[in-house]
Amino acid sequence: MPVMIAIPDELVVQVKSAARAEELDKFVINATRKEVRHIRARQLREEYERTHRHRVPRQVYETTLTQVVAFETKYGLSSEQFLQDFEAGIIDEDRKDWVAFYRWRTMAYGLRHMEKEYGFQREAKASGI
Amino acid sequence: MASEKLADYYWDIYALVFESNDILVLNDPEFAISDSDTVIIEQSIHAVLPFRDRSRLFAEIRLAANGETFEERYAYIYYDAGGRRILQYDNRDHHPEISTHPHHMHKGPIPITGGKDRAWPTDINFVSFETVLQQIRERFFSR
Repeated sequence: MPVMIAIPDELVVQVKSAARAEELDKFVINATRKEVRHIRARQLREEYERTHRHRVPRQVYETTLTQVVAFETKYGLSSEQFLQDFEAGIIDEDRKDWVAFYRWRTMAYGLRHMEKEYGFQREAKASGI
Repeated sequence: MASEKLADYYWDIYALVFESNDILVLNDPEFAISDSDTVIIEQSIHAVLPFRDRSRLFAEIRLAANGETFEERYAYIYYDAGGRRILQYDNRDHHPEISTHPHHMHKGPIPITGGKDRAWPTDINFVSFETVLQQIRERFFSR
């Protein structure tokens, strides 16, 4: 019995562009690798679900808030002001800790998202701001 | 459902990390990756990936789940064994002169105080955890 499957346009374009045999081989290998990864991902997730207790949003929020407050205290700047200035290029990376501002940025957006999504309100404040 | 898509995205990355154990050192004390609850609730991924040559990749990713999950804001910063930055991919909105704006890359060491960290058009068509890891594999671990 014939089976209809939907083939994404992106896949069609990729196959068409794989003009040479080795390109096609690479494409097939990558597609297979990706499919195996999806299977492995499902297994890892099932294993995690069996062996871990989920954290609730409030726990995640408080952990993130603690770290955000530490950044605000260290740099003497509110996260709102930091995001505005860092995104605009008014302040550059901290040369002593190049990753720090990117981490702060990610967490500050995460905090903002959780406040909007779950209605949390900040209680902790950074000192000296 | 957005949280389900975020979970799928995260677990694919998690599987990719463990699939990459030929170049990564997963029992290194510095190895870190956000847990799935943080990713789903905070919509962020923080990771530190130590490589077998003692280089390190720091990943800071803000995810958006608007239908499909994608990396709305990201920074991938790759250091060599001596702690010198080799590569950085980020989409901070401060290099409008770059043709691939806001996506851009930095190469080589972080400039000394006062020096400008020059930006270049990104050399990856679609920056993601997977494509950055693939780029590092091809450039530094395929010989």
